[in-house]
Amino acid sequence: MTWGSPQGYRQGPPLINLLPREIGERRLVRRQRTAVGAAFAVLLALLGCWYLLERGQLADARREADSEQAVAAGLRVHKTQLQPYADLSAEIAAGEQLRTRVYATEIRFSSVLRDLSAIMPDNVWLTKMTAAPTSTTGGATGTTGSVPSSGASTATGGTTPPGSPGADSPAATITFTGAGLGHVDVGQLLRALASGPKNGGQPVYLNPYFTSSQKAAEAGGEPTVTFSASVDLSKAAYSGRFQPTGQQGTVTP
Amino acid sequence: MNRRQELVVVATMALLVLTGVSLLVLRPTRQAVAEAHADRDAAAAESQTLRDQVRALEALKADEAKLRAQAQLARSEFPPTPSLPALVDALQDAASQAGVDLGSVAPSTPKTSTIQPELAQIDTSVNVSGGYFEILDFLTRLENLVKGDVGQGRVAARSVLVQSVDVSRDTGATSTGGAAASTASGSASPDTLKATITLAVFQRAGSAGAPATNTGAAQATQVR
Repeated sequence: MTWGSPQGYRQGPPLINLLPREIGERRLVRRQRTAVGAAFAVLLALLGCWYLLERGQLADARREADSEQAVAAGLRVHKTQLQPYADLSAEIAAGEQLRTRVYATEIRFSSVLRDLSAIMPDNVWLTKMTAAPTSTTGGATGTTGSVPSSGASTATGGTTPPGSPGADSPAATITFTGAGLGHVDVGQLLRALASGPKNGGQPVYLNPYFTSSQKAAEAGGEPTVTFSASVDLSKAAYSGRFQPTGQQGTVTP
Repeated sequence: MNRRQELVVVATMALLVLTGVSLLVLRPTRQAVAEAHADRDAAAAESQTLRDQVRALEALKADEAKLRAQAQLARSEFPPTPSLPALVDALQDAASQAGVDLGSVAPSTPKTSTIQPELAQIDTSVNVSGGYFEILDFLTRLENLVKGDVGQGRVAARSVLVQSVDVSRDTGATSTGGAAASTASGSASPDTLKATITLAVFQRAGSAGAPATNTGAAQATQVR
């Protein structure tokens, strides 16, 4: 040690270690071993605490899971008891679905008859009337034997001219035979049909047409004509009953 | 091996032991906790779903009478069998209430419906005679059969679709009427008209009762 070294500033007498170096090293090793052992023990203890904590959490979680599963099991039993109501509801829904499909293209012929009675001109009367959907009108339209068959195309394969029977893909066809006081009355009937009821802005009656108007024998001193005519019903004639909202419609004269 | 190395080895071994303990004991426990939480969450979610379903079913149960009536209506609209006696009852009642004379009822053999394959269709030809407005009333009652509101009495709801209507002068009628006989105008007519109405009557297919065929040729005519 020399004057001017940093230790020279220490207060008091100089320290002299008289212990042998081996003893000091042994002490150091013992201290280090103790420290490592203590650290190991502390870490082990911490791990033990952590483990206990986790076990506690596991027990809680299992208890909660069991509790929720018991609730779910109870609800399942309750639901099973209420299942007949679900079955009834499903049966009703299936019935409604069937009804919706069956009545999707329904035409209420009572409305058609009501319309016809309302729009029929005074000097015209019918002797026969047949109304049938286009899909089954092969026989219906054939009843008069004089009205061209309905459909988008004519028999020759060409497109049906506008305004002629079967144009604009009608939903149904009505064929009439009847009588009137004059030929003009037959024209009046066609005019009345053309300006007939509408549904949602769409005309219900399409393509009024007559295939014959012939002067007949005088009935009660008054000359008459007999005629054969037809009119198509557009898709606006569908009743819309039992259909989802937005697809319903009523025929409004 | 000097003491320092010995110390490092001991410390490393201690760390390995601790790591081993945590891997072998703590990790499985934590996994078990996570699994238990997942089970709890799944059960809670299931409970919530079940609770919603039970609530909806309880609401249905509250309207039990209405529900049963609607189900009965659905059953009678589309019965599992042709149920012809009920159909004849309904037609007769509708005719009586409308004031038309029910001449004949001719149901064909059920065949698979072209509208809905789940259904069988019984094409039925009905002949009635009466006045224009009586026939119109009869048609209205037929169209309303699906709602089961033909009137009071024995008529149950039945799914019936009017397919075609043929109205003509009843040549067998006694009244003569002159030129204005079969008028469809609003003026009252004393004349009798004859109407042939083709109905599609439905039943559920693939159930007990008459088998649905695709021929539908045979007809069992019931004439009054």
